[in-house]
This record gives sequence, structure tokens and C-alpha cells, in this order.
Amino acid sequence: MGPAAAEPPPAISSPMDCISRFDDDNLDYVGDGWADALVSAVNGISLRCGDERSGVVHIGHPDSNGKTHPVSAETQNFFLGCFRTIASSGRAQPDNKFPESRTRYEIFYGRDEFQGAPLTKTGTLIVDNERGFVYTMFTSGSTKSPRGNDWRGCAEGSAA
Amino acid sequence: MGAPVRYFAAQFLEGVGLNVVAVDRTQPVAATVSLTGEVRDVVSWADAVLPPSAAAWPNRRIGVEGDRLVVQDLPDGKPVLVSVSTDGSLAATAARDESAVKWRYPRLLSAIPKSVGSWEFISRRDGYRLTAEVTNGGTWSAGRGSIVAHAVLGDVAVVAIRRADVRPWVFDPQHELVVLDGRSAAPKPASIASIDISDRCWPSRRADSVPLLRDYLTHSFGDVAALRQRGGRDVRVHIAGFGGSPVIEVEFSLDTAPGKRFVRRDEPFDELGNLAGLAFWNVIFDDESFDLLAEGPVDDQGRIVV
Repeated sequence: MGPAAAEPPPAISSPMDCISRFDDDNLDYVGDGWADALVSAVNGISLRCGDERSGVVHIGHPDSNGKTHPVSAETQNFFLGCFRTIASSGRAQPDNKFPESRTRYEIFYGRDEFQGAPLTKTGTLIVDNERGFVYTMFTSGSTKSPRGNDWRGCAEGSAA
Repeated sequence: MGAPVRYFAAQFLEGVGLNVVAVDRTQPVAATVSLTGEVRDVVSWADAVLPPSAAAWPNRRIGVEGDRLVVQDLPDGKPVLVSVSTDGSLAATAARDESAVKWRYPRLLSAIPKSVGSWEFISRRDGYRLTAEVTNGGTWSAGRGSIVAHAVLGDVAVVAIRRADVRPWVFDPQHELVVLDGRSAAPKPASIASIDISDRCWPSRRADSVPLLRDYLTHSFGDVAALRQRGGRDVRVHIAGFGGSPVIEVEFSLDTAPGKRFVRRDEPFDELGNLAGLAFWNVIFDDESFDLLAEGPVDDQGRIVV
């Protein structure tokens, strides 16, 4: 049995489509298939609109069950660039929390420091091994942007 | 010590006739409430269908067919028909395939639609804190938590408020039901009495699941490694509750918050006994704001609960 598909998502959705569709009063987000809507696919890794637990909504929507790493119309191309960079050239290793089922991809794109301690700017993707979808994506190690969403630095491989 | 009382936790609300039917977030229980806030009936289908065998999100969906609701647990539970009489009495039976129904899915921290007619149902997030309010001309502040379901019938709205923040993660949030009279300048609230459904639930398989704890600890210790990479110091892991409700506590200090102790509490099995916990919800130390976590509540040992 499957949900009715009243308004199926397009073949490719933008991150901001995901965010706004999740808030759309007139849409059956899950029933119409938006949770699985594809945003970008690289190297067998698919970024999807997702929901509170995974994908773009988990990463960037205030209803996320985690820390929100905001995505905006101004930053969504950097957000996508960050995803593509990590997915295409990130170092892959079993995620130490789920070594059998998830892979962690990381890029190191610069250095910073905080109170004299060195920081490595890192972009991270956590990916489901079986289905290839992204659980979450975040950045760390930059003091010039709030933790988690240095999308530009990650995409360009330079200081934020 | 006996088992804790399980109170009804509405995740879905539907107006049927002159009543509102509420369906629990997990347990096989529905209730009808009148527009004056009386509980008219409570029904359980614990004996009619099996509980879900794995955690899922969304974990449940409902559909409406006239004076009947269809409830199905995901990913592959057997549908249940809940019939609603005009006096609000309920009857539940296992159903055949219900492919024609238009399903509705739950939201974790909000409700869709956000407005119905002149009513607006608002959940606000500030860091990890949540507050809710309802407007209909004037505003009623619902306090801490988020509105996860609502039903509007004429001048009256019924809302379900999940009384929890984003952090610390709450595994068994209380869901309060409130009736709002929209005929005044601002919505006038009347709480609906809590419904004890302890004897209407599926039996928990938690005690049988305890051997799975060994595998779950891979996640816990992986997360401790991430915590240490991010400045966690003097980390202690306590595991308790082997009688059937295991709890893993990770207690730690942070270089950036000298003199403070923090604790994260994880319950690896959900109330049905399926493996879930913080691992299922992807709540991991790599991806947290410690500044925001430091604003969490303090427990009776003086630790900040994160």
C-alpha cells in the first residue's frame, strides 16, 4: 500500500525547495514523496530532502531533531558545493558509531585557531551504506562562522 | 517499585462529528474528547494487532473515512479501523488493506497545517528550547514545548502539546491535550484530564532486548570518542537498568566550561522494546552546540542534562 501522489516532487529539488515544502500547509510532504526527493547525487551518495532525522530538513530546518545548520537562498549553492566536494573527494571511513551501517566522509579545508589551540576546518558527511542517503552534513573547526554551517568555506576550500 | 504509569500521548487529532478523536504517538490507543473537554471513550487494539517490530520514523499514520479512522504502524503494520459513534464511543478492529485512504503523517516538533481558518498554531525554536502559542484574534501562550497536532471544530480547537525541548532529548515526552474556546478575545484554554493507559498498552519487550545492548554500546563509545575529540574530559559512562529498562549515562566536563559537569542520558530501547535510543534519532556529540547544551536543566546531582 502506498500513499497517494497528489503532487510528486520534481526530478531534482533545491535545498530551499525542501525547506519550504516541509512548511507548506497545502502539501502532504511525506505522502507525496518529498522526504525521498533527490537534491543531488555524487559518487553513489544521494542528498535528499529528508525529514527531521535525515537529509536537508534535518540539516537545515528548525524542526530538525538536532542542531540546525541553516541553509538560505543565499547559501544554498555553497551548501550544495560543500556536499559535492565532500562526496567526491572526502576521505571515507566507517563511522565509528555505526561501523557496520554508515560511512563518514571528511574533507579538511583549512586551519584556524581558538584561544591558541589549533583547529582543523572539516566538512563531514554521514551516509547510510545500504541506501546511500545522507543522514547529516556539518562543518567544524572554523571560528568565523557558527559551528556547523561554513558552507562557503567548505565548498571553496578556503577560510570562511 | 512498580512500572511507571503511561499516560495517553496524543500525536494525531481528527474532528469526527461533534467529537475529536485522538490517537496515541506509539501505543495502540485512541480516545474521544468532547468539545467541552470531557473524555468520552478510550479504546485499545493491543489484542488485535502486533506491535511494530522495529523503530521507524514516521512510526505511524492515520487516515479518515467518514466516521472511521484507519491507523497503521510503519513500516509494515496491519491497519486498524477505529469506528466512532455519534456519542463518541469507539470500537477498534484489525482491517484489511486500506489503500484508498489519504494518509496523514506525524511531525516530531510541529503540526501541519500551521493555520486553519482564523486559528494559527505556532511552535517556536530558540536554540534547543521550544515554546508554543495559539492565536485566534488574541494569543494564548501554551508555554514550553511544541504543538504536534490540532483539530478545529467551529469555534473550538483542540491541541496536543509535546512538553519537551529539542535537548535534552526526551524519550517519553508528555503530550498535554487542551481545548481552546475561540469565542473570547483570546483563545480560552481548558485542560483535558490525563488518561492513564497503562493497562491498554502493548507489553514491552525491553527485558528480552537487553542482550542487544552489547551492539548498541558501539554507538555509545563511538560517541564518547567524538566527545573527547571536542574537548570532553573526565568522561564516565554509567550503565544501569539491566532488569529491563537500560539507561546509559555519559557524564563529562568540558575545557570550555570549567567547574561544570554535564550528563547525557540515553535509553537504547523504545517503550515497546525496539532498538532506538539516541542512535536512532542521530543525536551525536559531533553535531551539537555545547554553548546551547550548557543552557540545559540541572539534575539533582548538580549536573547539566544535555
